[in-house]
Amino acid sequence: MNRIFHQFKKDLRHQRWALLAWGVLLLVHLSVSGFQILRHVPNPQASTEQFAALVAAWVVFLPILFIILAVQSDTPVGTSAFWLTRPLRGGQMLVAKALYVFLCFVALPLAVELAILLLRGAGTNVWLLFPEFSVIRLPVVLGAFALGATSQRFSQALMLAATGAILGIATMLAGYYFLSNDAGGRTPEPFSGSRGIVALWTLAATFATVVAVQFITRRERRGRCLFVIGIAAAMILQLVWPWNVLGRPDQLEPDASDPISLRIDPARVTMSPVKRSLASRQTPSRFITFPVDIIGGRQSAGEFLAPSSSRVELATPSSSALTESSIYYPKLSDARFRAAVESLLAPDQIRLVGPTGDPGSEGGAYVVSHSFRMNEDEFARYQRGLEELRVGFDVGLFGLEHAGELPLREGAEWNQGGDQLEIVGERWTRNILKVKIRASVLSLIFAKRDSRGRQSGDSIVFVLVNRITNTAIVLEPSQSYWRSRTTGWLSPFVRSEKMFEVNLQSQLGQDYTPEAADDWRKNSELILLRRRQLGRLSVGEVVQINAELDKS
Amino acid sequence: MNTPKSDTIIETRGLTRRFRTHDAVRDLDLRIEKGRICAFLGPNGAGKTTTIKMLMGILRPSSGEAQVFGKSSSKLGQAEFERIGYVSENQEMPEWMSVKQLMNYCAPLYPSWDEKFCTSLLDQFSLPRDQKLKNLSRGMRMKAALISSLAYRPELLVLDEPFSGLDPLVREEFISGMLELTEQESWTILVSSHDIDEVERLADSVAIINQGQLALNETTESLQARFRKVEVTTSAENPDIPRPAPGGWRHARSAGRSLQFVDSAFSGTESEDEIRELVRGVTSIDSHGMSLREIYLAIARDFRGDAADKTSDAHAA
Repeated sequence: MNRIFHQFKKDLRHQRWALLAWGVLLLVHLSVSGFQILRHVPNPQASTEQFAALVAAWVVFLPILFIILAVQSDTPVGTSAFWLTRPLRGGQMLVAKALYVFLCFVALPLAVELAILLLRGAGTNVWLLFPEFSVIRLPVVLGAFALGATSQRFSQALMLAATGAILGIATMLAGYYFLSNDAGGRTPEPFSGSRGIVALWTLAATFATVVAVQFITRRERRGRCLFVIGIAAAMILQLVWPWNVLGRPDQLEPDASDPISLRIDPARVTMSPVKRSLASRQTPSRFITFPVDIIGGRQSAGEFLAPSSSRVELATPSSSALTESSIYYPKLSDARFRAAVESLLAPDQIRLVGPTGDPGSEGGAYVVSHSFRMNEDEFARYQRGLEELRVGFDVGLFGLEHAGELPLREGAEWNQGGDQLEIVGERWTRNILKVKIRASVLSLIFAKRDSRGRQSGDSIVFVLVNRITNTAIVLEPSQSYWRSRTTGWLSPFVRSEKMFEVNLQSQLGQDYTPEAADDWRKNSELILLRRRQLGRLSVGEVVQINAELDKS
Repeated sequence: MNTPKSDTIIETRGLTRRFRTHDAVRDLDLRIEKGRICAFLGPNGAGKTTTIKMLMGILRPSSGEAQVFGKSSSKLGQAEFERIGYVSENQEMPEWMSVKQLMNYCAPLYPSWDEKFCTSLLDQFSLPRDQKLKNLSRGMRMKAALISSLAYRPELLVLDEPFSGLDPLVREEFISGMLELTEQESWTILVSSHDIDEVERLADSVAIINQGQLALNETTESLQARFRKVEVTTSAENPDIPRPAPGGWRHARSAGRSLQFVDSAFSGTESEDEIRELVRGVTSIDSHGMSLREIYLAIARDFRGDAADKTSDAHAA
């Protein structure tokens, strides 16, 4: 044990400057997050947010460099390392390195993340951070460890990483096409969150094994083969894993059978002192409720997964902007998303409806109804359309995200949503087509389609309803991921436009002209519907409900 | 493999290491007894470093076995390495450390670490304690490595080409220091080199390896006893070299009235009688003792001859 600590201390001394830089980065991360919490950022695209995102990225990626260098300083590769002929067993060196990596690059950032969450008032939900780390951060840390343990020089590690990445992508693409084509008319399994998690855990287990093999047996070729095979195996599992390791909605939420039933228990809400102070300072003379849906989450095959990436931007005249960003492990993000929103908004202003969704087939959407407080001046300005209430949502799951920014300039008459039908706004037809898709390369690869080439599983659909012509066009968020023969699959925005045009042409038939399409758009409004409602309602009924809601 | 005798520190049997199709070491049988200072010699690429790496458990043998302290080298553990000092020209040092930090790092690893001894070694080798290893010259770094491997008084010291790349002055200091210590300490040393000059003063036994095979393993005393430079004077001009020449004769050549050769199996009057039988008109026989260097060169020339023979055979084929 003494030798392990001795080695551990040596590594600390060796990387003292790197660790100092790492500590400073974590402090900056903590400070920037704190700054974001303590102060409202008027413009959500402000440099602070970008800086925060940059810092967060460094917090994830900088340890890779440090870990590789720390491991390579006592490399188990080759025959020339100093420690190999010293009275240190491979197992001892492994434990010492693992201790160092764990304490400096797992425990320390975990503590900082915990502090940030507590500062945000996440309360009892903070424990969710641990399993989240095990899925998101651990494979990264172990991957860096394995790279360090299978290479002598940093350049070698980079080469190995590149090889692994290329192999992984190639395996996945090959498997994807092979499996899709092999289905012979059967509907391939849709993308599953379970697969992502299993793949990540497989990677983590592979990397851990590689590290152990390298330090204990020092069989480099075996270690490298294992490294490569593990990546390929993880990618294949990503495609074919058949079991659901995540709970269904009824397992996650006892009352999930009724999607609009879960009310927040105020006792559970922990507000940061600063947030509480800000909330108490607001003394609105008038209280107007705008329920705004923050919609996220999609899943299929019976899995419920709340948004893995959620961004809530609420800009009001009085409170400038409240922003929250998160990228979380899907299963956990349900609670964490909730915690984030709770911490952002005063409990009496928020009605967190909880996960919706059909336990049998579809996943859940998250509905957050937010009540904005405004004074009379603000309300008047708002009614005159001088102020903007901006609601942004950016939800996704392993990249299958859809995002939007909805500048709503209409008066209070819109947004009188009911439980059955949420009307979010009108005359932003064009805006919805300008959906900002933040699809990464991975997301495009992960996106699977059914036998008809259609992405399935979204629980919320957008319906464009034209009251004059009594027609409607359904735009699914996932529609943008269709693999269109005409547009290819790398341009979701173009595809979305294209699909809209195709639908509109079909609606208008021979009457279709660009002008008619434009008129149609101008006279249409957007309605958000849960998919399961869609099957039960005719267009006429949708319009009728909409009209009734307007009257009320 | 039988358990080696208690006075055997290193023993190999049929030790072989293959790199793809090339045998770096082949069927090596080597034994080094306790207290010996064995010079492990051979030309470049003979397999010295590979053998030593197998002895240290850094490389796995393809076949055969090596034992150090009676334990298979691939299973050498903490207890054995506490008794072994290893210095190699190829060894990577933690260069970010200063000399002092290196000693502080090594000290807790060895229960027998002698701080006073370490200090005296540092003084003896005039090493600046606060200099980082990366700022030291190659010679200084080797000295630091040596001290870090001596300060715990290892029972076995393995030096793999410790002098290569050192300038003559540093080399001299190094060897003098080693000699001084050798008088004080009772250890077993295996020192590999491709140049006999470096180890001649240290070694009391010699193992010579060529093309992965052990050519010789003997004490210097017995080696010097049997190797003689022989000059035979005859009455006739250009005396004939006997065909076939006795097995011990090497590099025989005749010039004028003399025949010169190296006899690797010289045994006094018996050898002289044999010479008189084989060479006609012998008037006198002079035999001179050889230095280790001369012996090694004689053997090394044989190696070259073997290689040349093989090459010419290959060309002929």
